[in-house]
Amino acid sequence: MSRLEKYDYGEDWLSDRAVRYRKRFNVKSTGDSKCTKNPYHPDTNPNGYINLGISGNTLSSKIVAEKMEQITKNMTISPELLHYHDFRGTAELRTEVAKFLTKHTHAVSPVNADNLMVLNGCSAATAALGMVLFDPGDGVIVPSPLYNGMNESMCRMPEVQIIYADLDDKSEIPFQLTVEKLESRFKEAEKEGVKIRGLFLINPHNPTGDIYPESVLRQCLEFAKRHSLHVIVDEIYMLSVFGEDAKFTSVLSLEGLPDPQRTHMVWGFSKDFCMSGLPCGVLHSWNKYINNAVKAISFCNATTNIHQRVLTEMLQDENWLEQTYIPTNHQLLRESHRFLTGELDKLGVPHLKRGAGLFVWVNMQKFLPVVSFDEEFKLFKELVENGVRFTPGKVYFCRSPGWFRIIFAAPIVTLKLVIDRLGKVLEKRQR
Amino acid sequence: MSRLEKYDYGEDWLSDRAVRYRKRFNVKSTGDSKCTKNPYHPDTNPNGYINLGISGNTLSSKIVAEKMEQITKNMTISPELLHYHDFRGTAELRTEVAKFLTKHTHAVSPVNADNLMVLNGCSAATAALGMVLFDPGDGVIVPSPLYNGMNESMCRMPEVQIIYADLDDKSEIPFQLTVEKLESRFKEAEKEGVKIRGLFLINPHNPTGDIYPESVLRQCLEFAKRHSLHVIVDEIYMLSVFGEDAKFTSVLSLEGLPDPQRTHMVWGFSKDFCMCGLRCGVLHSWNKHVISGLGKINNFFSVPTLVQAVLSHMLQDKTWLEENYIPTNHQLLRESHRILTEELTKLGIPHLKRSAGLYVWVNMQKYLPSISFEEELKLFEEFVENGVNISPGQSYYCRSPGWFRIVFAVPLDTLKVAIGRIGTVLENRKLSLL
Repeated sequence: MSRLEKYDYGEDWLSDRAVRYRKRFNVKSTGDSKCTKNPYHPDTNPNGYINLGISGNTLSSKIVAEKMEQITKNMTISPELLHYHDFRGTAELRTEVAKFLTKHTHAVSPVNADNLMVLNGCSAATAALGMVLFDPGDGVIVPSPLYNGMNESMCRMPEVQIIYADLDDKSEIPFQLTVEKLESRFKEAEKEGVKIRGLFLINPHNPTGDIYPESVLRQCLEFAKRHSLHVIVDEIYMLSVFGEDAKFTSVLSLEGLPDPQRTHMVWGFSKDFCMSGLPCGVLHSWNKYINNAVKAISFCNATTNIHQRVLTEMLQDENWLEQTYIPTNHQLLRESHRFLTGELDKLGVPHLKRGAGLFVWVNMQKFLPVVSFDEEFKLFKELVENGVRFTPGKVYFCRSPGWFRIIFAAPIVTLKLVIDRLGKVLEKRQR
Repeated sequence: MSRLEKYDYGEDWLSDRAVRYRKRFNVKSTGDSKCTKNPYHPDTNPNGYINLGISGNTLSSKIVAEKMEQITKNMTISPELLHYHDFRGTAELRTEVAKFLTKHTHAVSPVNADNLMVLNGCSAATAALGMVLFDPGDGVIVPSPLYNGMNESMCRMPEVQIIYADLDDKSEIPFQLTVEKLESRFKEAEKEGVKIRGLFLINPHNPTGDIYPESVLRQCLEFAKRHSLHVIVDEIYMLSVFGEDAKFTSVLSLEGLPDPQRTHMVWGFSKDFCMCGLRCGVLHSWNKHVISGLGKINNFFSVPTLVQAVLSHMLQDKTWLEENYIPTNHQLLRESHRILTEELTKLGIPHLKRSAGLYVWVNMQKYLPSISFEEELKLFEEFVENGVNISPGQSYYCRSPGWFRIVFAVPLDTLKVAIGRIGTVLENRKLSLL
């Protein structure tokens, strides 16, 4: 019997939908739990597992932690702050985020705080949109590979069907998104009887680190307009664009959007501000019906008043933001990225050279006896056995076996150890 | 055309379910929103609306705010705190809550932190349970009247059907819950073809302030066991039991539960610690499948680790908790409750004399020209026009017209102004009814 058949999903106790939630198993989690139980620490646990599988920025978190501590030490907590607040998000935070986004997206026109909703994370924002835009079984088309969190947000509670438009490594630029691929997958799905109601993009892209050129973004939006699709663009890595020549285009910066009432953007503090444990996400929509519908279930997604106050004060300190945090974060990301990619070159591991995100998308095919997902999984397990955890491409619904995502946004001293352990595994395999 | 027919719910843009969410309207919200837009303030806005319609404790919030400020001023924020994320909630907070609940529920055996989940509020916890225990269209039986928030939690995203076992004011003790009423409503619903899968209780009760005797609680749990129902007991007002002789019984204190794997408890910081804006609730379940199922949708219900750390520190300060906050809060609640109930008695308004919760359940029937929900609504609107928001019983699915819920846990000077306004409305009515 397979693992899935033996396992008790609690059918006797749970609703049918909860059993479906539990059956969504992702191979990624085997590595994650080993790392949680026995995590690496340079001093106290140098032989522990190093987790470069969870996308997070531990490079600049010290700067953010210091800033937050400075804020909380000087914060007045009034009785009013404890009481019910506007579940759309406090006016102060929405105002600050509006100013912040206007600047950092190079928005065509100033972002209106009334078009923003604050929720407890981007995953929560995606799931809320899933509930409000789509009914169970509706399809959302998405280019693969794609970070698995989106699947979890859309497929669990909303029970949306994800239709992957598969990109592969055979194209001239591996995994390059073209609107033709979206269009052809859309037509196939239509024939299969799937009602596609949405398009989801993440830009900068996870797991490849791609930044979509403006032309591609526009073509995708026009594709969506042709088929009356809602478009959700996840721009959670907006500030994690560290490449000196990298040019990021937000949907908010595009003049003459084909269908603004169906163009929704999501951003959050988790990746750009190193705080995945304090998730706070923001949804931007020009469509007041959607904002009102999200508001109708917002008591489930509200995030703490006090946390919103801290984030407001953080954004208000423009000096810290623009002169300290952002440039320092970019510099640290560049350095770690350069180190890791340099070492990958030395090990002879091909990878996509990109200037955004917190990860590198690498090609381990030459180290597999046969290029297959089974071999990819074996390599994944071997790496975990040897104390280092990357994420195998299959987790991201990648159709070309052998690709892995490696987080680089970690201290260089940790990356050195990772390369060391990786090198040993690859060397053994080469022999 | 009625209000509901004219209104554009955005069918062109939204999913069908989102249109259903938007169509859920509660008459109470008109009063609530007037108060939000033009709130009373003794100095800056003495003509604003006084909100005695939203259940929250603004009486003791100053003590809590001072404590939290003391904590945040001395708190270290480590990089690890920024990354830590256990879907069940931080180990520190679950450990502190386990100790706290063990003591305050008089638990039969020490509460296990592994049976706890931290979510962003009790409303959220109820909705999460709604998703994980029930499928759309399943029924949950609930005694009415019942606070409307439960309906919103269960009926929006989970799309559960609430089956009200109606209690009324005709019984010897008005709105008294008996298991016979649950049993008879259950049978009726079965005949109507509803598949009832759960029982929901809130104890201490909202809106009546009732505390269920242990015997009634047990009978309800046995009823649930007979029909294999999941039981959700909301104990959010656990610490708001201020009556000196009042005896509150938590499900965690009952020996020999009929069906522990289907008995789930919800508690939170909002009411007992005056922090509705902090959004932190706790769910207790012995059923590991339920905990696991909730874990799969937990990213929807997360609480920032920073807040969890502050709350852990707060609970750790036992001296502040047991010798300062809890006794002071009880004393302030008793005083406000006494002032309101004395005034109600002077005004000749019958009300349930209870000693838990943050509100009083009052009977305004003598001020209605005829006892009906239309007249109840008119009286509600008149109160709001006169600057005081109290909630009409129909917003709590009460089947006996004329009842209102008045929150008393507000600063005394505000309460006195509100009582004055209520008195004015009723005085005018008395004159017009003569």
